[in-house]
Amino acid sequence: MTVKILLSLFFGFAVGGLLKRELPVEWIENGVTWGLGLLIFLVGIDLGSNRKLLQELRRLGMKVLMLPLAIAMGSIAGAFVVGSLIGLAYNSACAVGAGFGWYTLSGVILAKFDAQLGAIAFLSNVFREVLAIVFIPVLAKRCGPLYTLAPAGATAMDTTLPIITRSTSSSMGLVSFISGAVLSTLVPFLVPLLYQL
Amino acid sequence: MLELLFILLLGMFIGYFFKWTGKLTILFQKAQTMLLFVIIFLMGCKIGIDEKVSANLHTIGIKAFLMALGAIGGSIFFTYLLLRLFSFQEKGEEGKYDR
Repeated sequence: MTVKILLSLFFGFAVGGLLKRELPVEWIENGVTWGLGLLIFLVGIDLGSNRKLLQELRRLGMKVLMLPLAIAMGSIAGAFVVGSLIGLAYNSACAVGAGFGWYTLSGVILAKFDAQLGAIAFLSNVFREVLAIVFIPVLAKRCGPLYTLAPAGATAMDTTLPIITRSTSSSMGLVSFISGAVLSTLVPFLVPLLYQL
Repeated sequence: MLELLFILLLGMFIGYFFKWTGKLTILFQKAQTMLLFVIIFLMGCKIGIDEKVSANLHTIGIKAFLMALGAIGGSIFFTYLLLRLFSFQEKGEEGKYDR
């Protein structure tokens, strides 16, 4: 599964690089938007037909909200540690970590302050999404379903949501969505806030 | 982002109120996997087209890669701490989310 996903990503990267002039970006944007919409719809049907889901949610309760908060703190702390090792200012490092994988938004926000940092934030969060695709199936197998939410970060509500549900169970769909939604909500607040520390 | 939540809820509503036979469920899961590959491919295209990204891939790529590893490592570690601190397992359950 992971190999196939990576192959299609690299294949896409190659095609995109080769057909830079011929391929209108709007087509791809539209393709992603519609494809994602349809996929999320199918995931929803899967979730809705799962009668156990409501029981699961009641069982997890408020703990569901604590997970994305732990993931947020962990991402920022991890970025801080690595940032200080490679000589990045601590506020920049924390702001890059607070992108939580949402590379378009975190990149754009930071590019306004510093072009180079914007590029680092963009790339770093692209890598986070790609690495999440690699780590999710492994974490699901080795550590447990809830660990898959950590690398996914904000993308747990869209791009990596289907990977999480396919490598765990469809009942993880809503938990994943909630975690991704909470983290996505934090991105536009935390990234500029941490940079201006 | 709000549309996606609406679509998810709409799908859940349809899934909840209609009976789905086994065959259809399998068909849907196959469709999900296929769609996933298409979307990932398109994501790759998007990154490949973006010259800002492909041009900078070598110079600041390593820094960005290490930052991504740091953020992922930290988030896994904090998840571990949270799951250790508060047990997500309840009595009588086999601990579906725990391990």
